[in-house]
Amino acid sequence: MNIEEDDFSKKTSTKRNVRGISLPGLLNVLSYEGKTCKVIIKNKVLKGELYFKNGILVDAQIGEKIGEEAVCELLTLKSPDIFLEPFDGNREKTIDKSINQLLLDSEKCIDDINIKKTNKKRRKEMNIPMLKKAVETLKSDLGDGLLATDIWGLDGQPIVAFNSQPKASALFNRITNNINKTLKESGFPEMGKYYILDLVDNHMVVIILLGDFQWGMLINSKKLPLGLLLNVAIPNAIDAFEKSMTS
Amino acid sequence: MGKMLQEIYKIVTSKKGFQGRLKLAEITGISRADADEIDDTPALIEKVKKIASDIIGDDIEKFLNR
Repeated sequence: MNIEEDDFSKKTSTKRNVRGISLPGLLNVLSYEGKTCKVIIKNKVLKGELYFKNGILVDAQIGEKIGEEAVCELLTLKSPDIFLEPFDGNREKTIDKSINQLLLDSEKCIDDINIKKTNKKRRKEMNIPMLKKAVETLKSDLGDGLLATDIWGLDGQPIVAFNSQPKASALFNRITNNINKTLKESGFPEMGKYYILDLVDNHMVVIILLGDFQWGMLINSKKLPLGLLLNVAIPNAIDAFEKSMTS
Repeated sequence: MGKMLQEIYKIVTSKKGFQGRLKLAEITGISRADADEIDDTPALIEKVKKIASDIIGDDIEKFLNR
């Protein structure tokens, strides 16, 4: 780690530029050394601060975010400039967790942020009118047998739907992740094209796995033979979905 | 037309599900339906085979030759 005096130094404060260490690494060092200081993290667009008092991270801020939320945001900044400044220790405490806990939590938080960014990007890449057409194709193939359908991304947020069930989308997204994890940890082959849940009262749920997307449908099985669903409706729906990716 | 491409699609779907199939379509820009129509030139097939092998994590030739 190299901490050097910076041209930004003011009369009342010595600002030091930190190089050669990652932000998580620096936070660990400041905590271990019991330092009291302010860490300024900035890139071309954003700027935030972390406040250490006797090695304890007491406050963080970036934009309108403060506390643990701000820590997470700051840890996602790519290749930021990092500076250290003196801090008098006088700051309201907004963080209760230890550095280790914050860094652990931030991994999940960073994953969530990356998923949201990826999802946003993927949505832009998808041809939404074509996706709507895919849903229309499914509706036409399944007729009255289709009660609801949603196509959602990595974050479980529906993108296109018929009789949308956003809560179910988010929860089935979680179930799919759990199944994937279970199969992986069991040493079983990974999931194939879809899974089906047989529900009481002549209902079933079909979840089709489409890479970064999933397509869920609630079906009245009394009105719809399984053969028609598996051999006609789903292949047609997938063809239409695929068109939206390549068109 | 596109017989070999169809075969590649079939293998990728069997090995990696719709996720693999969509990845192949996304990377090559050729949907499975388009694969029925397109001329499968040697250069195109080689390119698709390479991408398909990357997706299934194995040499697709092994499955095509069966």
